[in-house]
Amino acid sequence: MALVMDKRLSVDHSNEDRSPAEFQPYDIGEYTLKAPLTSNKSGFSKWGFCWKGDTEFFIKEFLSPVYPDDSVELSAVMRERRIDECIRWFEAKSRIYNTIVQAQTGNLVVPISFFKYESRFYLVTQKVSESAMDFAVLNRFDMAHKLIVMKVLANSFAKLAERNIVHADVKPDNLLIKQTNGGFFTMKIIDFDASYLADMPPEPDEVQGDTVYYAPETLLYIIRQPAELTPKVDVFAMGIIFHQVLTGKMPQIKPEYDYIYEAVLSGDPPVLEPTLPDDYRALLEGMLQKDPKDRLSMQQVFDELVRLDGKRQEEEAANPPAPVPEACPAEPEQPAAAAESAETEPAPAAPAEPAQRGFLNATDDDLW
Amino acid sequence: MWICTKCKRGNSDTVSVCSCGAQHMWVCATCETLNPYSSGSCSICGAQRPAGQGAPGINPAAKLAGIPTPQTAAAASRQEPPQPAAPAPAPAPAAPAPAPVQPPAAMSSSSYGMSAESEEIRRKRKRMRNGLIIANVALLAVNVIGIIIIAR
Repeated sequence: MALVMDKRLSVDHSNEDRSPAEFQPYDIGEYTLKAPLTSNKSGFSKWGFCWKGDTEFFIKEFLSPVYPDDSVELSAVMRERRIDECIRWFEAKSRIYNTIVQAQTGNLVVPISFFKYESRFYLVTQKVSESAMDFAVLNRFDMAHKLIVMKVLANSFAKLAERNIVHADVKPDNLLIKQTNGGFFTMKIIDFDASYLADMPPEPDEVQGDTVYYAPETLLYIIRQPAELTPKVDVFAMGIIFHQVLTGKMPQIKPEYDYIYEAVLSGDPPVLEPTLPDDYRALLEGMLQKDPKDRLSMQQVFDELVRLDGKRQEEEAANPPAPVPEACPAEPEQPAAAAESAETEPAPAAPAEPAQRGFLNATDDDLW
Repeated sequence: MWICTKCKRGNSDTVSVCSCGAQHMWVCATCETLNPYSSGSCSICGAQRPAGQGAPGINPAAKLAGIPTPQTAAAASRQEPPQPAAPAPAPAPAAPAPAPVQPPAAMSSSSYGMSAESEEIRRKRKRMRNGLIIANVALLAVNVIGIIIIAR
């Protein structure tokens, strides 16, 4: 990852506000912007896509801090202060981004380049395929594939936790479902803007994240009560996410509460979906504990998922689902040429057969 | 020979760790998890390590049941030459392989954490919208009553 602070030629930022038809491509460092950046639903940055050679990347321009260049009229003292602030911010961000890169599992969308250009700071990451899908579709996967998705997430967050990184903004918007070869799916974890190292937490009034997925200790920390922010914050949020993956619903809380953390802090733990099997219920309860010390670690969550997947496979081997008379014998006879084509493009969608156990045609009864 | 992604140095296939300390990894085609090259299958989904990067993933359920799918057959044909002397393993009792996921009709473009609203915001907006409707209806009623009073 390139982390550089340098000064380049001036960029006409007014260009960005023009309509796409009037937009003139321009360079931001090594990257070429071919469409204007947008601040669409993004509070602290503008974002868009840029090109380097033949590869398209995601680029984010931070709206703050702004490096005071020579054109800005400031007193020497003020300029020094602003520059110091920028350097401190840049170094803190670089430290987090470098640590995230080291934690790479293959499914973390890690920074590729973080740099200052002109008076702005930019972050470049891999562009995730546009086949990213709505999070709600996960509930239609069968149990085998739900477990893969959950293991991918648990593995990535365990690796982040190993390096003491708190993502701090775990929510469906930041977990992209990506289609992989052969029509399979995986999860990509994005947006580390709110992230911090557990030994360098943000000031209480600077904590970001989605209140829906806040851990109880996050609120305590914000209101300056004794609380420590650790990677267990992400475990709590992931407990809510896993409940959504498994049941398609949020855990239920009493109507007097707006948020799950509020209910947990008041001693009213959320009610999990009654159809959840005991093993999964115990796992989610372990993830949604009020006290982070009692809460499972992400590595424990991953280990438990591996155990549950093993158990599921054993049960499936012992009680194989009823064979489908036509589908089974046909598979080994697929021509090799057709198989090769699967390498470059997703396999064509097979017509749904009622008896076939697919990703999306599993019923609730099938899942357990 | 493999090229270290960290220091770009070439390494012999007989070593799995580069002299810079980086481990030789392979990317699972099914779940895109990085795995150490010494590991023959993915630690997350169980897919076999393909002979080359980008080979199709192996359907975990099919692997469990020992069923050759188009993907496994293709991967196997690339990995190992056929060995006539060895008896072919008997296929395990068949569980039909799950069909590949069909993308739903409603695909959203990638959001990068900024396009989709949280459930909470949507809920609050809905509440606000309902409140506005009620306020408008009340205002209309007051206006109508006012007009009636003035007319009398």
